[in-house]
Amino acid sequence: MTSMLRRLACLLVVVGVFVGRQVDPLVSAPLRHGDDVVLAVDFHVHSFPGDGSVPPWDLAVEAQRRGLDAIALTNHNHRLQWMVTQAMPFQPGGALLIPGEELTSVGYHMAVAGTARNVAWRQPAADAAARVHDEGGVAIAAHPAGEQTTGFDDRALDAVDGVEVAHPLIYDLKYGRRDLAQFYARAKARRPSIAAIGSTDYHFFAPVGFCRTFVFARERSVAAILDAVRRGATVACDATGNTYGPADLSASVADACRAAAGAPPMTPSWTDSAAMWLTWCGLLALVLLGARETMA
Amino acid sequence: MLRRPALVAVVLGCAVAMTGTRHVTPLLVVSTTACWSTLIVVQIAIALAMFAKPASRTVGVARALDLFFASHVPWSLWMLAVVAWAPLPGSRPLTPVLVAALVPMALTPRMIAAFCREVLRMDRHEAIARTTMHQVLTWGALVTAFGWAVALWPRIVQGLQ
Repeated sequence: MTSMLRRLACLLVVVGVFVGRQVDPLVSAPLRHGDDVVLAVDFHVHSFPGDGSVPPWDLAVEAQRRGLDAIALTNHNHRLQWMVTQAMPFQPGGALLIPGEELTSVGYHMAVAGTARNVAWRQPAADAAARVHDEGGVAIAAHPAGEQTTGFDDRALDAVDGVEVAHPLIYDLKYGRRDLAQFYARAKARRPSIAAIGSTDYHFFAPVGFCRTFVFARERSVAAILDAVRRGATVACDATGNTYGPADLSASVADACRAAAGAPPMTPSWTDSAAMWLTWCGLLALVLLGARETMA
Repeated sequence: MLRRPALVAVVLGCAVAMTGTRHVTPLLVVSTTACWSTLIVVQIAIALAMFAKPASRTVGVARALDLFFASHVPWSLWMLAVVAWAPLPGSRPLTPVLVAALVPMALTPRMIAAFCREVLRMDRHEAIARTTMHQVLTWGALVTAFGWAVALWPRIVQGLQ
């Protein structure tokens, strides 16, 4: 009897996983704005190995499913995830992967995208941003709220390319929205063209692209995305469909931002849910049946 | 013989896939399971170090390893509970699942001590000593890996300031 139940549990897991395969991707046709193509990017994504749970090649597929064109791999002060991805015998499909790191220092965190090498964290934010530029990347003030703004003096604000203004902190912290908005306003007052960035700071829990950045790029490439950030041709989009950035650009992606805010897994499809819960029930049964056998 | 470690790896891989993307596909599950199997390998290494010696072991090493992983049931159930609860940003708080982790944290050492007594034929004091050594090694490895992953040092410096 136990053996038959165990087989049934295995079958549930297999059926669940294969039903999940049938889920339709959310990929939509790219928007255009004049000569620019509008790309959706998440500039702050943690991955395995590091303090993110999903490896980059799977995140690339998941990001595409979530309607993203690119994600930046930003683990804390290391790039092992990028090295592992490069060493894989296959090219990841899905969204473009941008190498980077989250520079985690005293008084500031900085999402770095597009660099070829690690940047030392033991330096002032302005110097770190300059080093990022030397390495060919862009520097973004990451979740600048509370203690993590003390390192951003005026010199640092002049040096960074963008500011995270849409981030899950605006929902998780009481004063998150106010703090990020104030920091963005401060940065914009010094440099009106500073890029508005929306990022998920993804670690373990779905979804990647919860907050995102619409980038007005010349073409669909990493170089064009970084160039757009340097020009400030971006609009940040939060998970409730609000946009932040230049008014004309914001207007052109307002509908896309609202659509992204309601996309699964915020509102999971029937197939998605069925596949996941079949798998979950099968695993639960296997764990419990296994335990029972041990006691015998 | 290593059926239980394999099941733990699959539960871990599926749990990671489900919390990370809220869906499952064959490729995703295989990939996350393979990646997170490194954790199982570390646990196997620690377990081997723990019970490779006892001459009075009642079963072979592979079977002992398999039985040892029965002590992972509380953590496997906790992982599945996390999947069921998995908060979306801005919705449910993470606190309940963190508090719930106290249950496997308390149960696992008891199960390991029972394993030491029943399978490794240790007396009570030796079983407690061996279980303590196992927990110190496991949590030590975990904290070290976590500290590296989150760049703990700059955070400590910031905290001290």
